[in-house]
Amino acid sequence: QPAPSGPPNALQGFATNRNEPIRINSDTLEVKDKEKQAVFAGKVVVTQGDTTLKAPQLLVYYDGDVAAGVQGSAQPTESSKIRKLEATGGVVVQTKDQTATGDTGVFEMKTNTVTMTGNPVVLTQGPNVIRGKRLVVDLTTGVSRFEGGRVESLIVPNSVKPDPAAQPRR
Amino acid sequence: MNRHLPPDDFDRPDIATFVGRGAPDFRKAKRHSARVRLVKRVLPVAILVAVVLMITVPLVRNLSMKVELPFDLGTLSLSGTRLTMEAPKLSGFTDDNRAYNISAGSAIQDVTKPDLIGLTDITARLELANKGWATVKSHTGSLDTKTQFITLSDGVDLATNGGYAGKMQDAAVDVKAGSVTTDHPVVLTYLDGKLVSDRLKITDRGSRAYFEGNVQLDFRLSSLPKSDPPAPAPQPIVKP
Repeated sequence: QPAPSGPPNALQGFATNRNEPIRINSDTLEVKDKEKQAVFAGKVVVTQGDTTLKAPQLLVYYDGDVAAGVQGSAQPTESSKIRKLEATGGVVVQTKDQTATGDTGVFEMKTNTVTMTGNPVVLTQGPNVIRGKRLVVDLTTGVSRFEGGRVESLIVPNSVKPDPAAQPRR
Repeated sequence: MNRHLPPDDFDRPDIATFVGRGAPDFRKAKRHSARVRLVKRVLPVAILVAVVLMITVPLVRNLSMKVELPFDLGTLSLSGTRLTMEAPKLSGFTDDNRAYNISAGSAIQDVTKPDLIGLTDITARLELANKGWATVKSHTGSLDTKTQFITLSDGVDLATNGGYAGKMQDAAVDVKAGSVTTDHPVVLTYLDGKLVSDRLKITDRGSRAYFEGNVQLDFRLSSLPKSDPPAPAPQPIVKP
């Protein structure tokens, strides 16, 4: 499990507990198999381990054919691969004491990266705050970086204590 | 064979043989030739019929074995105006020629309202687009042949060989429009993933599904197919 580096943020929570079951709650879910899209809408809450994501809407782009799975044509394993996930309309991600907020969050399965964009994207950890335009977190390496535009941060001295719990669980 | 001799012929045997009404030998000969004429006509017909029978009977017998009657009436009983059919079976092909067959414990039809058929213990099996199949089982249901509307109730189970399974309390199926709606909680499972919602409306022959009300989806990334090789480990599919 790579130790997350770069600005600590809630998104790395997804890197640490990646094998945990995922639960998505929402008011409605619409699966449009022709467009290969599924749209969770209405107070969407996604939880995985101790990380939660809240957004008004979550779009799931998938390949293959859910209907094929239903139609029974594809073998169960490869029937519907999720290609991309997009949370829009104001996204809040929380892991323990860290939160990350932004306008949209896009997760690319292929590159296994999470990109959060916002005006600005705000990361907080305890009293510390970092703001920027685009935050990219590589979930395989756990590295996250701010890109595109000025990054402003406010770090309160000795507020970042190396608390063991923050270390990714082995 | 004893011959009946009319009395006046006793004393004049020589003339009797020439009398117009015919002496016994002549009548015997006439009967004989009548019989011969009869046989001449009947025999060929009999042979013809025999030959025809010899061909058609085996043909029909093995033909019926191959052609399974699309519907099997089972036992039929009429009580008052209600016609009950035990173990009806119906099979056929949809318009995009996928085979389906539906069987039920019993089918009840009110003669006064012939369009509506009540069914119990329904099992329907539908061949799906690509060699897959789906089965629908339901305890009770009704079929409206006019509007082609099927309602299933008291617990509906759905399963496909693709690994999907579904449980619903009831379902209203509009065969023509290809839509299924239910206003009661639905549970869909796929591998170890589970999707629950209060209402479901499937339209467009199954290519659009709209779940509504407390939608909850549980799954594990490991159950999802691995994405392409560059990603070494399964990643959390959710991100901010």
